[in-house]
Parts: sequence; structure tokens; C-alpha cells
Amino acid sequence: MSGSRVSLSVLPRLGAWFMLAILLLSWAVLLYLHHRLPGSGAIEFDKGKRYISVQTRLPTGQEQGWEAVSLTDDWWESAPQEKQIWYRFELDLVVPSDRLWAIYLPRAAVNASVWLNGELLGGGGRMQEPISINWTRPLYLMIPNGLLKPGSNELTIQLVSDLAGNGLLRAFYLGSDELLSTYYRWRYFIDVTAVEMITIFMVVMSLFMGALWWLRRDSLYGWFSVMVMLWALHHLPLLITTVPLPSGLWWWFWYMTIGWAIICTVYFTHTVLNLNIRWIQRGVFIAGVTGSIILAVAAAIDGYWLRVLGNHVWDTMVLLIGTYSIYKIFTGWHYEQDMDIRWLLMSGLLTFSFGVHDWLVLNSWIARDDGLYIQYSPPLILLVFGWILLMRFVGALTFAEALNRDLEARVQQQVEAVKLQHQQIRELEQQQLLASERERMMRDMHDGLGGHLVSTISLIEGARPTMDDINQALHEALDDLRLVVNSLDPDQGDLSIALSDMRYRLEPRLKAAGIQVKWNSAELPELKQIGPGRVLQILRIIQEGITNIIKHSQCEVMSLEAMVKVSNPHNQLVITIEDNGHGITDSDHNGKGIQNMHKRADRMGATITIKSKPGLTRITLGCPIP
Amino acid sequence: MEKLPTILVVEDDSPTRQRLCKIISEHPSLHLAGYAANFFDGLEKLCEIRPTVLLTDLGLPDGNGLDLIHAIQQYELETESMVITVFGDERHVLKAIEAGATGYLLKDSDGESIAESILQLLAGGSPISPAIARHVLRRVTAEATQDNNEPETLLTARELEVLSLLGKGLSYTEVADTLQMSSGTVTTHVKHIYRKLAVRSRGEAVFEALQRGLLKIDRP
Repeated sequence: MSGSRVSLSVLPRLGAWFMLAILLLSWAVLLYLHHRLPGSGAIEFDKGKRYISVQTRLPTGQEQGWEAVSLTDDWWESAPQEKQIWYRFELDLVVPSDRLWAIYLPRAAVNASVWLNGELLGGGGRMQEPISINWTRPLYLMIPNGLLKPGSNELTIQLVSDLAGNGLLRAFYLGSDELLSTYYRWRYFIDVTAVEMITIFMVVMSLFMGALWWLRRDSLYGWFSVMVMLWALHHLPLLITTVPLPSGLWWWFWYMTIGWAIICTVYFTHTVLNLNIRWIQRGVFIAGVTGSIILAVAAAIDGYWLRVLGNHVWDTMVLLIGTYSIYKIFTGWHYEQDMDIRWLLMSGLLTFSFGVHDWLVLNSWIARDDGLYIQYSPPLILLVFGWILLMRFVGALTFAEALNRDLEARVQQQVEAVKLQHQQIRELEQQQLLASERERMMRDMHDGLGGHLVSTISLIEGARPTMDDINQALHEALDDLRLVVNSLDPDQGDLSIALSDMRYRLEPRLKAAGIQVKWNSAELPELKQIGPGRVLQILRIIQEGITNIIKHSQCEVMSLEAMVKVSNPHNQLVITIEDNGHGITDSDHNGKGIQNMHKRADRMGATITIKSKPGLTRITLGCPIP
Repeated sequence: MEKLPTILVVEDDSPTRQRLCKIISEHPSLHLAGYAANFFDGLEKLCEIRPTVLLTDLGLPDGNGLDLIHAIQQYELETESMVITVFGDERHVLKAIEAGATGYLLKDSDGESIAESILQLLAGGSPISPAIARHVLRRVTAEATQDNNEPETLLTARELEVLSLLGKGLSYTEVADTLQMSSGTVTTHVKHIYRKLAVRSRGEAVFEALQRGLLKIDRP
């Protein structure tokens, strides 16, 4: 456990050193590559003559107006208002080599053409408006065989600038192609290919971040996307030689893109650190807009002023804004010790150091032939930000997985709880069912068997009971008990079967009484539909009726008819029993048996109709079926 | 004079026993050969008397009436058996039928019906209530379906018809009228049904005993 803790705490520290190492390495590589120049194997041209003239023809044989110059010749210092200068260099060769010779110009801004002994060797493209912009590209020209003579040779360079005073000629080299081409290729890679690759990377990342912003609406990604895109656009003047815009507008665009990219870092930083300092955000914006307008006006009036204001004022402001962002990130890291912020700080510091270098170059504190560095810092920023995103993604994934596991566990818990609850409810329901069934049976026993036994006891205790009376009373008790038992039978299908069971039971007694039975029972509802309690009551009523017939009617024929009458809202179950006995007297009507039948019918919402005359007695039970 | 059928009554409740004995002994066509109040006494008398009919209660203090019925088969007596029951409910009655009983008596029936039931049994007929008829029918059908057989493999089509009508609550006479036979034939059918159930049930018992290793068949 402690081991994992150690490794976790060591990791960020290693990361910090790693970042610092990258920072220093980037600087070292850049410095090395920028200052990697051919040594003694080549002839270096650093002294010659120059001739300030707008003439486009090669000035041959003309010696007036030429002045001595030593390279690097930076027009900012030596010719701030010029747009074209001719240079001439003398070269005494002892024995011309038969190898292929070449001229390598590491830096010739903004565009150059080269003549050797009056023959045009070539150049960087268009020399008239719109001039090809080759200000960050090396120039390499191979010398055709025989052009270079033993003895005196003359090398002429025409240097042009789109904006006044923007030209620069660095010391250049003549040597074997074998030697110089290597340097040229390296320089070209650094100045052009690398910047192209970086720019493509930036555009892709910007689009990716933009998509993220679109999907997540997290303004962090939005600011980052805008910043990187602006910065990528800032590289266009480094890469595009044929300018699509008027040159003033073009350079204005160059200043704007970097300026607004750095302004975006303020918003980005504020978002990362959760800051909301309104006056800074507003102030930076207003400064940006004001500067943009002023620079636009300068660009419209004069290229010189655009350059001066752009380099000295605008870029200084941009550097200050960048400093603010770096400072905020630094304090953010200082207070929060957040790993992500530390990494941002590292990449920001590299960018900042490059920015300071470029600012020093643009303000002539460092020689201009050193070139600009800031275009090399985006990869680190993008890598860091990509890494942060990756970590966030991994973190979110891990978190989501943990959350999922937690959720699953909780769902499982809930399922268990619900199961338990269900079980408890089921048990409770069963208990309740049992209780209600027990209650029903108690009531049935109390109503039937209990009543019969009590009346038997009163019979015995009364005056002169006959054995017959007692026998009959006990039989009734047993009959009722049978009904209760029957009504509990779960096998019975419908009411007609329950009725026929009763008939079977009463048959011997009917036979003994000499009564012929006609039984007519149609398809009747299922017992379940009627309910066991009501079935028992119906059977009791019918049994009571038949028993009465056996006991009192002295009939010869009895019939039973059971059917269902369809009616609204409930169907009616109608059971009729008829006999041809001597009929029911008024005193019988008040007898216990008939009173009981009425009572039972009332209790379940059924009706009993009794019609009786000598020779025909009819009892009808009408019971609604739910 | 023709020899009267002999009856053995095994019943532990003394008033019921006395009542049954009285009914039988007073009946001109029946002869009470003996009575017992418990299982062992009953078994002893059964072997000794070899009565025409055994009337037995199921719940005896020292044993089960069903075992007396089993004993009849075991000793290969030619005794018919009836069980005495309070409710005539299908669970008890079916068990008795499967053990080999061919009839049952309700304890509270009047004397005339009791004697008549015994005589009907002797004449070759067995009583059956609608509920029992339904039960038997259902069981036979269910077993046939389970074994993918026709119900006729155990009972004949006629027997099934009789059972089905009785199960619907028709009286013997009504069944006889419907199927155009005498009511005596109806009760005979019922008796055959009872016998088949008993035979099948014994077969099952033997099969089960063999399966469990309780019984061994010596093969020559």
C-alpha cells in the first residue's frame, strides 16, 4: 500500500523534471539548428557592396552609388524606407573545382534573385508586386558548370521587400553542392516542413477541440479551439509565398492572429482556473479591438508604420497579456498544486520564453537573422493539453465504471430488499387469507352445526321429546356438516355438480319417503365465480327446502330446476323447487326453517319467493351473480 | 334353506357397532357372523370366519382398516369388503377402493339403506357418489394423458360413459335409461371399475416395492 503511494507521489515529480527537460531540449535543438552553418568547407560572403535603386535591370558596368556593406544587412537599421537594394560581391577563385557548385542563402528577406557573372542563377519567385514572400525560407541555387571561372567572378543579388524597410540579407555561402545541400535541406525542414506539420497538427486539434466544445458545451474546449486555430492562421504568412491579400492587410492579419490567440489564452486560463475577473476580460478585449483598429489604419496608410506599431506596441501588449496568463497559471498551480495546471504551466513557460525571444528580435534587441521561434511551441502545448484530455477521459471512464459498479451493487441491494418485502407481503397475505378462511369456517360452523346442536339440546331439555325428533335434529346437523365439507372441496367444478352431490346424498331419504325426483340443472356458473361462502348458503337453502319437502309435504313428485337468467347489471341464478304436496300453511311460513331460508338469502343479497297452494308449492331462489 | 351371507363388522365406536350389528342381525337376508372393536381382533375373526362381507371402519385404534382389506387379498379370501365412513368423501373412499374395497357405507344411513347397500354389493353392484365418479374419471384420464395412452386402456368405453354420467349427478336409473341398460348393470359396471382400480393399484404397489428393493421375486 505504501509502495503504491510512493510511486504515485513520485510520478508527478518525475513528470515535472521531464517537462523541464523537454523545455531545455527544445531550446537546445532550436538554437543548434538555427545556428548550424557550413564551416570551413564553404566560402562565406559577409562583405560586399550595395546599391539602393528601384531599377529592375541588372546594374552592370555602373560604379556610382555603390556603398560598402557587411552582412547581415538588416534594412530596419540600414534602409528603413527602401523596397529594393542591389548587392554585389567579388570572388577570386584560384582553380575552379570540377564538382557541382552551389550558393546557399540561409536568409534573404523578403525575396531575392541571384546573378553570377551576369547570368541569372534564379531566385525565390516574383520580384514585382505582388512579391513572393520568402522571408523565412532559405534560398539554394546550383551553379551550372563552366559559369564559375578561375580568377575574378562577380555575384549580384537583387533583394526586394513588400513593405518598406523589411528586407534582410544574411551572410551566405558558396561551396560544393554536396556540402551545402545538407545544410539547406536541414534549414528548409526547420523553416518550412516542420512549421507545415505543426500547422496541420494545430488545425486538426483545433477542429477536434471545437467538436468537443460543440458536443460538451464546455467553454474550456471552445477557447482552446479558437486559440489554436488563430495561432495556426498566424503561421500562414510563414508558409504562403504567393500572398492572396494586399501586403498591408496580409501583415495586419499576421499581427492579429497571434494577438488574438494570446488574448484567448486569458479567457482559456480564466476558464481553467475557474476565475471570473470581468474587468480583465473586458479590458483585454477592448485593448485588442482598439489595437486592431489602430493597426488596420496604419496598414492602410503605410507599411512602415504598421511594422513599427505592430512590433513595438501591439506585440508588446500581446507579450504583457501572455505574461498575465502565465502568471495566473503559475499562481493557480502554486495554490492548487494541480498536476494538469503544472503541465500547462510548463508548456506555457516554453511558449512564453519563445515569445520573449521573438519580442526581443522584433524590437531589435536580438539580431533579426536569428529568426522567430514561437511557431515551434504549439506542439508541446497541444501534447500537454491532449495528455490532460486523455487523463480526464481515463478518469471519467474509471469514475463511470466505479459508479456503475456502485450502482449495480445498490440495485442488487434494492432487489434483495424488494424480494424480502415481497416475501413478507406474501406471508402476510397468506396469513390474512388463512385468517379470513378460518373466520368463514367458524361462521359456517356456528351458523349450521352449532345452531342445530343447540336446537337439539333445547329439544332434549324441553317437554317430552320424541326419539324421532332428536334423530331428525341430529340428521340435520350432520347434513349441514356435509354441506360445509362439500363447500370446501376444491375439486368441484360448477354449482350443478355441487347440487347433484346433494341430491345423491338426499336420494335415499327421498326414496324412503316415496318421492319421485325430477332434476333439471342446466350449465351453471363455476363455484369460484360465486364464491365458497355463497355456494354454502345456496346449498343450505336448497337442502332446507328439500328436507322440508321430505318432512312435511307428503308429496309424490318433487322437481328441481336450476338455470341462469341473463339480465342487467348482474345475471341471475334462479333455482326453483316444486312439489305436489298439500302446501305450506301460514304457521309453516313463520316456522324456523322458512325464516332461516329468508335470513340466509337476505345475507347474500338474494331473494326467496314462496308460492303455495294445495297440490303445488313452488320456492324460487334468485341470486345475482357478480 | 339357502345359506345366508355372513357379515363381519369391525368398528371401534361401540354405538355405531351396536347399531350396525342390530341392523344386520335383524335383517332376514343377512347373517351377522361376528364383530370386532380393533384391528387384531378383526384380523383374527376375518381369517377364522371367512365372512361373505367385511364391514370395516378405517381408523381403528391399533391399525388401519385398509390393512384388513389388504389381508383379504393376501389370504386369498373370497370376502367382499366395504368401508364405513362418516362423509363418504372421495379421498377416504378412493383409498379403500384401491386397497380392494368394493363398496362403502355412510355411518348415519338408516337401517334400510345399510342393508340394501350390502345386498346390492352381494348382487354384484357397487355404490358410487357423483364426486367419487368424477374423481375416478379424472384420475384415469390424467394418467392416460400422462402415459400418452387412450383412457380405454384401463377402463372400457362403456365404463367411462357410466362414470361420466354418474359424475354429472344422474341417478342409477337415469344413467340406465340414458345408456339403455338395467340399473343393475350400472352398479355392476361400477364394481368392475373398482376392481380394476384395485388391481392396478396392487400392480403399482408391487412395482414400487420391487423398485425399492422391498420385494424379491425368486426366479426358477
